[in-house]
Amino acid sequence: MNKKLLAAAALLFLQVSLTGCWDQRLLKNGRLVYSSSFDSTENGNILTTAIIRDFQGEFPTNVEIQGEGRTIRETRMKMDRKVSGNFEPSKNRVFLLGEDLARKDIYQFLDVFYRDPASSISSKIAIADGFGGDILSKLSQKNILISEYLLEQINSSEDSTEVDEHNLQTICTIMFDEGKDFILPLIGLENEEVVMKGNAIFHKHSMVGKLTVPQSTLYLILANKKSKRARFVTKIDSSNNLPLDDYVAYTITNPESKMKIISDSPQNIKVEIRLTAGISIGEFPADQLAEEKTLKKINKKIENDLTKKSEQLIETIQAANADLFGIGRELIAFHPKTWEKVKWEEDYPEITIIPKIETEIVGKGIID
Amino acid sequence: MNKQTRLTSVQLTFFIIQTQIGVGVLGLPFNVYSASKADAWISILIAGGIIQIIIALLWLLGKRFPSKSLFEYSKLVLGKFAGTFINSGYLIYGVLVSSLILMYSTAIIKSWALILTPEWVIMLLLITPAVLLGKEKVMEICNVYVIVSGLIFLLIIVSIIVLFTYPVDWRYLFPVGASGGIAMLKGAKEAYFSMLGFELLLILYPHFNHNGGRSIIKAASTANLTVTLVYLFLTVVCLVTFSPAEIKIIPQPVLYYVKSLYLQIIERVDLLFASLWIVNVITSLTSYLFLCTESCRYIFERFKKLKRGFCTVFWGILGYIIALLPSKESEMEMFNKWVISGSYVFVLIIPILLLGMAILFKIKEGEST
Repeated sequence: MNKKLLAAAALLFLQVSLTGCWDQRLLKNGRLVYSSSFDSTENGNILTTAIIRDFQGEFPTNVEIQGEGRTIRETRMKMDRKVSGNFEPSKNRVFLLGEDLARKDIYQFLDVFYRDPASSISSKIAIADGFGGDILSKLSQKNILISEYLLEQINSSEDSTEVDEHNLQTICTIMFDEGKDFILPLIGLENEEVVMKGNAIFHKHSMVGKLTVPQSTLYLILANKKSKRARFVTKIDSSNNLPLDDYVAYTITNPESKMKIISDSPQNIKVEIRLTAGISIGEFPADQLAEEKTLKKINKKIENDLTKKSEQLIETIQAANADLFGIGRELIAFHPKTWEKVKWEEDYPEITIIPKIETEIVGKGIID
Repeated sequence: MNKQTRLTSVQLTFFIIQTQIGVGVLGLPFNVYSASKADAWISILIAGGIIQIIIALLWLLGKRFPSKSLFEYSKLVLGKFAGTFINSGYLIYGVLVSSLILMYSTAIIKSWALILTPEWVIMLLLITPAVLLGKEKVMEICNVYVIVSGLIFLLIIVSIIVLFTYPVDWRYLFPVGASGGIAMLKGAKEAYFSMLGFELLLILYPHFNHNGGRSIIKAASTANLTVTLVYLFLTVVCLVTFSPAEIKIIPQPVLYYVKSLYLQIIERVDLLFASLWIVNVITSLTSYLFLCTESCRYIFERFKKLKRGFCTVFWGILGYIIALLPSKESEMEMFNKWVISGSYVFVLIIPILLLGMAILFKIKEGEST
């Protein structure tokens, strides 16, 4: 009995004396970074702007620090010298990349986050329309919880199908995929306000173009990535007395989009994207929705409008040479012989992508 | 309180499962992928099939000498001198595999979690519980194994969460069979390394003999099937979460996909996952130290005073020291290659040799003694 007691005491002693001797990282020594942005400067260096949470008495405040260097790790080392305590970016929830930097190879800059075991690769990433540091500075003047603000902005846009759900890790997967490209939220300053401006189109590792918000929603619907809500506005008339009567606003319900390769001969690849969706009208000041004929007319107009917009969207995407629908991956998986023969980089802008859209009005709110 | 006195065949199943699932599980999809690309999952099935055949061979051998350990009938078949020689071979094999497990698991722990902690500390923390458990009897080891097997379910549950939260792409599995037969076999070879552990059947057979031969082969096959399915599942999850070119640069894909999870309460799920996995590493380590102990006991049979525990501690410390020797990754790779080639000898060649000779010279338990 005595022996067991002794062993237990020894174990207890070891437990207390051996906790995290080498690898402990105490919260009190760390300066937690909540959001950071990366920009490229005129002389080709990287400028990192980081927002550190601090406390003045009980109230949280933001401290903005900047560091310039040739790689992200170097800017981090410089910033570490500027702050008291250890610079801890592992709680970072949002990364902003300046447009100039995003147009270069972003993987080069992000490599450090994929390599470091402590970095949070589930954090959100967005592109700044302009200079990323400016957005953080603007927010730091106004807002106490910057990263929460940005995070909520991205999350609510995700819910309304305006941006794709991506984080640092999911884009890495697509960056390494030769048959797929992706979009990232584009955030900009407008009249001193930070707003969601749409999406940045990426091809391989670099930004190649932009999508507006309605275009982004349409793309996400066509790519079968509808989130909670998806809203559109269509102009259906131009002869009404009241200008507002010309428009109908609606949400898309139960969209189902199928991509089909209808011709896989390497010289003439044809892809059809067929979308069937329900329309629920949310705003239509002209009223008179009880009549079957009016409904049909409106439905037809919406269908045509969406088809036209889809064609424009596909044109934009193909012009940017970004394979956002993952057609390349479809070819690799199910038409490997075609894939061997095509030079996707050159052939993709030339292939035919046909959008086919069928809608049906399924709801009109609680009045006619 | 009823004390269990007879081992059941279920315990044998868990013993083999816990030995097979170990350090390799985190890197398995990567290793197999580097050989057979998107067909990695087929390779795993092939490996499972091949191992099933080997298990059948080992079982046939065990059945000829149902109440005797490998270390006893090796002497019966080959004579005292050659038998002892082979027994010492298994002892060395056990020690080397133990140090290999130590080296690889420490390297992973060091790069993922405890970056600044010195190697010798991590290794000491791993080998201590293994020695403490390895010196016990089969019954005690089995009981612990059965309990900690619950952790394997947790590993699978976390992987299922990944499957549902991550935007997976099933098209990464296609086109099926594009890598070709040879690549698939090479992949199977990679998978085989992570499935080692079933050879323990050689020394466990007599302990479970009272259950009858049929239940033993059933238990061993169940273990092999379980491990194959777990590996198959983890590999498929890796294949659909990571794109083909990405997987090539991620040596521990299982940990990496867990890292990308973001749960509200826990920030780094990979650390949680790694701590569950460490238990599996320790159990594999324990099994190999148990192999050393058993073989040591038969080699030094005439020293009656030699305690079982002393053997385990001695070989455990030796394995620990060997594990500390290589300092570079290239040296570790070389060591790995030796041990793997050695495994063919001990898992395949020697048992086949023994079985062949036993059949040829009609040696069976009871007849020659």
